[in-house]
Amino acid sequence: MRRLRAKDVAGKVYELCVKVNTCIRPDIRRALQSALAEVRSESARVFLSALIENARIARKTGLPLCQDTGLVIVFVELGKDTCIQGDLVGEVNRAVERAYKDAHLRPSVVRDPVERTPPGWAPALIHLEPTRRKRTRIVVLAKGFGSENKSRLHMLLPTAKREEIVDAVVSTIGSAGASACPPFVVGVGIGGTSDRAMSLAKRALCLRIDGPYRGEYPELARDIKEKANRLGIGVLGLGEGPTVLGVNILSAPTHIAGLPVGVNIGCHSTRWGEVLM
Amino acid sequence: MRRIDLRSPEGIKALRSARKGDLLLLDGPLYTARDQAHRRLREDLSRGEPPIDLRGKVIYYCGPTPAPEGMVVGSCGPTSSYRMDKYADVMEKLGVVGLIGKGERSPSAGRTFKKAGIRYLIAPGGAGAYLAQRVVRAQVVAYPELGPEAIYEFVVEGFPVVVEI
Repeated sequence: MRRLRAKDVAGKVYELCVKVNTCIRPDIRRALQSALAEVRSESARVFLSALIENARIARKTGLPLCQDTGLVIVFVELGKDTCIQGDLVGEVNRAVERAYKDAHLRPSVVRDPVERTPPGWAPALIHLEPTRRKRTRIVVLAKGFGSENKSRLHMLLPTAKREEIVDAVVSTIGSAGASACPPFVVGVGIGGTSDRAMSLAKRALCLRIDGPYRGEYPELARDIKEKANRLGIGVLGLGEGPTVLGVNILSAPTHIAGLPVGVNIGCHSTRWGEVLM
Repeated sequence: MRRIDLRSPEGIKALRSARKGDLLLLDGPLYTARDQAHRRLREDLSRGEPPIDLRGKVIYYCGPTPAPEGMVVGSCGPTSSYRMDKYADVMEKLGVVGLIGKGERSPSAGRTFKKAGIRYLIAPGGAGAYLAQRVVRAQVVAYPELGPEAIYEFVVEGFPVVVEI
C-alpha cells in the first residue's frame, strides 16, 4: 500500500495554481507563434502579437495571463493500491485559496449559485478517480468561463454516423464564436453517460496539443480540427488564422441506446498543468 | 491604426466616424462595468440617480484581478459582451458613446447601439497582462462593494481596439 499525504497533494495544487495562471504552456505558445504566419491584416496581426506579448509580460511581471483566473478543477487520478491520508478536500481548498491570494488572482467563485453570494477563491471542483496506473497523477485546470459557457453536450443516436460526431463538435465550436477567445483548444468526450462525456471532454482539454497525439481516435480528432478550421472564425474572431489549435478526444464505454458526445471549449491560453506523485 | 483621445471633442468625433474593422489606439478614461454593475446601473437609473455621470464616456466590460503592490492594476482584459446585451437600453439612457468587450452582440442590442450612435469595440480577449500595461491610472468610482465587479475609472494610453459596430 502506498500512502500519500493530503497536505503533499495540496502543496502540488498550490504550485500548479500559480504556474498555470502566469506561465503559458509551451505547446500553446508555439502554436500561437506559428499562427502569426497565417494572419495578414493589421488588426489581426496586432491582436495576435498582443497574445504572444501577453505571455511574455505575464511571465516577467507575475500578472496572470487573463483576468478571468477561472474556477479551479483538480483531477486526482489515484494510482492502484494507494491511499490518501488526511482531509483532501480541506487541504486542497485551502491551498487553492492561498495560491490565489498570494499570486493576486481574481476571486471568481460564487459559493451559492442561486443567491449569487460575493465571490471568493475557493472551493475548487475535485474529481477523484481510481486508476490501475502505478503512480498518482494530479492535474490542475484553471477554467475561464468565457469558453466554459460555450461548452455543450450532444446526446446522439447510437446509429449516428461518424460524420455526425464531427458535425456535433464543429457546430459547438462554431457557436462558441469570438467571445470564447479563439483560437480554441477543444476537448471531446465520447461515450459513457451525459455527465461522463462532459467530464471526459474537460479532462481531454488537459492533454498536449503538439508532439505525438495523446488522446483516442486520432483520425476523428484530425477531421474535427480540419473542418473547424474552415469555419473562418479565426484569431479572436477576426476571420484570419486558425480557429482551433488542437483537438483531443477521450472515450468511455456506453449503452446500446446512446452516443453521448461532450464538447468542452478551451480558450487560446487553456491553463493546465500536471504532476506525478 | 489611428490614435483617439477620448478627452477631446475631436477624439469623440473620430470615434463616432470610425469604420467597422478599423484598428484604434485609445487614450483617456474608460469606465469598467460588468454583469452586477449593469444590474445596479439599471436600478439606480430607474430611481433617477446613477452614481456617476457617464455621458460621453466609454464603458469597458472588465473585472480586473487585484493590483499587486507597486502596480496600477492587475490583469484586465475584456469579458464576453453578449451577457450585457440586455442592458443596451441602459447604456443609451446613460448617454455613453462607446462600449469595449469581446465577441458578438445580439441583433437587438446592435440596433440600439446604431440608433443611439454608440460604437461597439473589441479588445484582445485573454491579453489581460498586456492590457494592464496600457493602464496608467485606476481607481474605483462606484459600487466598491462589488469587488472586481465595481466600476473603475481606468486612464489608458494606446489601448488597442477594433471597431465592430
